[in-house]
Amino acid sequence: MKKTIFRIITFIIVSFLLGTSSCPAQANDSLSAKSATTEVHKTNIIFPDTNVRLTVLGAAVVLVGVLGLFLNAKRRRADRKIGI
Amino acid sequence: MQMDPATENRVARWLDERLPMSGVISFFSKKTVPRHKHSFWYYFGGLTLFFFIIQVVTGILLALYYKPSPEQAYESVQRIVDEVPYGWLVRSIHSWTANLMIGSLFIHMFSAFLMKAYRKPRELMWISGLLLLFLVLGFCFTGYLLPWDTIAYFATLIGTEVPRTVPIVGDWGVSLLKGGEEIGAETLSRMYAIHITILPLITLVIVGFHLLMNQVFGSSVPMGVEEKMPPLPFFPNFLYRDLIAWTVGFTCLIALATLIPWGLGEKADPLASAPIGIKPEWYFLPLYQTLRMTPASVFGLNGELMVNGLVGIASVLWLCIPFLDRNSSKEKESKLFTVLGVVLICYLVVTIVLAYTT
Repeated sequence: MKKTIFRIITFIIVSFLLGTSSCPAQANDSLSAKSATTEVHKTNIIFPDTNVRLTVLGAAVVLVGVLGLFLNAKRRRADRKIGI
Repeated sequence: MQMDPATENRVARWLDERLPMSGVISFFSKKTVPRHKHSFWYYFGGLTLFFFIIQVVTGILLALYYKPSPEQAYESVQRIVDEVPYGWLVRSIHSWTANLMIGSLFIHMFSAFLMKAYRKPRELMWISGLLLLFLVLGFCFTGYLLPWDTIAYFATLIGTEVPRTVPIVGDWGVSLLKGGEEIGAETLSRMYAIHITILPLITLVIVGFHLLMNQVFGSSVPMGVEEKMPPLPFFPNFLYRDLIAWTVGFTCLIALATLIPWGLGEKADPLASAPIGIKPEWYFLPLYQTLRMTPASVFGLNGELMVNGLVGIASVLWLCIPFLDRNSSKEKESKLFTVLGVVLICYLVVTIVLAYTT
C-alpha cells in the first residue's frame, strides 16, 4: 500500500514535469478546443500566455514534488521508529 | 544553520512557560488512527480541510481588490485577472478549489455514511459535518454572484426565487436574500457580506467542533472490519500521510487552475433576457434536473413546491440518520441504509449526467 501510494505520487509528478516541459503547443490546442466548447462560460478576459501558465504549473509542481518527497522521507523515518 | 540542543531546550522551555503547548501535543500524540482495508477514505476529511484553508487564503487576497457594487464588481474582477500580478492564478485557484472542496466533501460524507461512521457515539460528528456541507453550498451560492457577469446574474436570479415556493415565509425569505424585488446593489452587498463574514464565522466554529469531536472519539472503524494491524499514531505518522495527500490535492488544483483558468462572461445586463441553456454549477444539478423532470402539477400540487418540500424533508432525514439507523448503533448490520446510500449516490450521478447531456 505504502509503495503504491508513493508510486502514484511519483507518477503524477513525473508526468506533469514531462508534460509541461515538452508540449506547450499541444496544451495550447487543447485550451482553444476547451474554450470553443464552453459557450456560456466564454472568456472575456486576457489570461497570460500558455507558456507563462505552463511555467507557473511546472514551478509549482517541482516545489510541491520536492515537498512531497521530503514528507515521504519523514514519514518513512517515523514509520521505522514504530516498526512499520 | 542549526541551533545547539541546549539553546533549543532553553527556547522550548521559555515558550512552554508562556504558551503551554506540551499538554496539547501530548493529547495529540495519544490519538491513533485505525488501520484496515478502508483506511484510504480517512484522507478525504483532511483534504477537505486543506481546500477550505486555501479558500480562506485566496479569498482574503481577492477581497483586497474586489469592489462589491454593480458598477464596479465586474471591472474589479477584470482588473484582478488582467492587471494584478498573479491575480488570474489566485482567482482560478479560488474558483477551482470551491469545486474540489465540494467533491472531496461529498466523498467524505458518503464514505462516512457507507462505513456507518455516524453510529454511536459519533452522532454529533455526522450532524456537524452535514451542517458544514450546507454551509459550503451556501458559500458557493453567495460567491457565484460576485463577478457580476451574465451567468452569475441569471443563476442568482433563479436561485433566489427557490425559497418563494415555501408557504408563509417564502416571500420574506426571497426579499431577505435579495434585499428588494430585483437583483441589484443590495443583493450584491448582502451576498458579499454573507460570503466573507457570516458564513466564515459560522464555518470556523463548526469546523472547530467537528475537529474536536474527531480528536475525542477518533476515526470510526467500519462494522465487521477486522483491524489486523495496530493503529497508527496520529502524530506524526498519520499527519505525514495526510500532508502527502494534500500535496497530491494541490498538484491537481494547480494543474486545473493553470491549464483551464476560470473564465468571466459578459458584464451582467439586468434588462437583457436570460441566455439560452443556462445551467447551475454541477453540485446544484441534481436539484435542477429533478425540477426539470417534474411536471408543473402533480396530483393538483405545484410541482416545484413539491420537489422543494421533498428535498427539505430528505435533508432533515439525512441529518437524522444516526438516530434513524438504530441497528448500526447496536453494532448490528443495517443493509437498508447501505442500499439507501448507494441509491442516493446513483441518483446524484445520473441526474448530473442527464443535466449535462440533455
